[in-house]
Amino acid sequence: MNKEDEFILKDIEPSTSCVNFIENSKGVFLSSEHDFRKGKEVLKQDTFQFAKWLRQNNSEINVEIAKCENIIDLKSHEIWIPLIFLANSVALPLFLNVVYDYLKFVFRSNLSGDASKVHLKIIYKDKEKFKELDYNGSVEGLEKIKKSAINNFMKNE
Amino acid sequence: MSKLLFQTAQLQKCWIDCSEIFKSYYQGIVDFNFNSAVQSADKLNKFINDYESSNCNNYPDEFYNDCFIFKELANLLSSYSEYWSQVCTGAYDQSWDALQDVLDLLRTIKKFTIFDKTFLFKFLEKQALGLERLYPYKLFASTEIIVSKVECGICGNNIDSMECDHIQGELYRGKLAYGIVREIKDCIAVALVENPANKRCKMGNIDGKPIIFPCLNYLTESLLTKKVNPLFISHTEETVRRIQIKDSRIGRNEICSCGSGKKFKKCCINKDFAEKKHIEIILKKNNVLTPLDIINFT
Repeated sequence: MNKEDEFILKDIEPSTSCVNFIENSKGVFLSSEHDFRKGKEVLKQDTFQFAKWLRQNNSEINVEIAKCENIIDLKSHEIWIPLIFLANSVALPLFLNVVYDYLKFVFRSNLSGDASKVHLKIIYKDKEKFKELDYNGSVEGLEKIKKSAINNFMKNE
Repeated sequence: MSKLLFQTAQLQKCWIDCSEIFKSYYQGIVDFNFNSAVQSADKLNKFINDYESSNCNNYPDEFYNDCFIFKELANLLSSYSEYWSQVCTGAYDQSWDALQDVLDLLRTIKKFTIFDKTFLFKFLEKQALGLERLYPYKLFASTEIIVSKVECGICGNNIDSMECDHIQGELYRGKLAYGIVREIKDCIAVALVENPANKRCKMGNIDGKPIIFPCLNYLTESLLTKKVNPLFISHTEETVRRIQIKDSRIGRNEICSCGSGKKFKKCCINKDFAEKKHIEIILKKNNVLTPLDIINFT
């Protein structure tokens, strides 16, 4: 990972709707988030583009999206993946691989030197504990996290 | 992915058929006759528009996608010559926008083709990114807004919904999918950022001082005296140069020569040497772009 990359993995107590989805549903839920500046629920700009790409390239993953009319539009070169609730039916390392493929798809037009920063937050359940993976950094940094998660997953299988 | 730039034989042939236009475009750049080069690029655009409209609608998607790429390549050549025309007339502010057009067109063409494997792409990418460094723009205004109705430019449905199948920025039968914002609910912020999606909203004179373009002035002078041709410019390199401070005759209240913008007495007055950022324009006289690199790159 680069020095500027930030990666936090912590135990959390998620909302009831989040717990319900993770324990009782399949696939992923793309959640809205509260914007404190305007006091509104908003969906990240890339929510629907990501969902459509998932539908076209990973149709086996069930995708549900929060009902929210407000889309936050940032004119940035960075990718803001929406807050994701990952159901127990999808393994985190495999899903990180899917996210990584999406980022490669989005950044395939980059010129040398173009920054490719990504913001990603996933809530999932690991051995009876709810965890939040929060990553803000380069695609290369995410690739290392993905590889390490896959290695751990393979060891435990 | 196809090993060719164009996926259809028709467009491959069209490109080759335009050889004479490419030669006259290239000569325009070599002779500093940038208006003539722009006219050549316009001819390419007209050619492909006429070709596309004279063909019926039952060709496969690849044909229309190839027509799109052909037009983008013509636009790229046009923006490139416009850029040099503006640099040579000292219109640096406008030339920045033309340079951004060149970079955006390179990104678009790269996205859908193997153009990035060609010498023409590598030459333009390296040169354009190097030229970006010669400008004083480091901060850009970027908006953060809440939108609720964004119409798809292809199907008209809300692009931020699953009713619309199109992914923004992707190519569908020769048309780029883009979103038309029909309703802005709120403006959260206009931020100053270093890495926006669009670098055209540049902040040049935050402190009220006029913007100066020392590197571009030097480049323009070299171009106008024919010491340099645009096709000889390879890239730029940022280096640090040591300049002598001790025994120099800078007044205490004058601006420090290290380039910090501070007064000398508040900057390097106690140093023997200061480090100053230096940008070098790297020229290449061998292996430069030739007309064949444009005609045969497909």
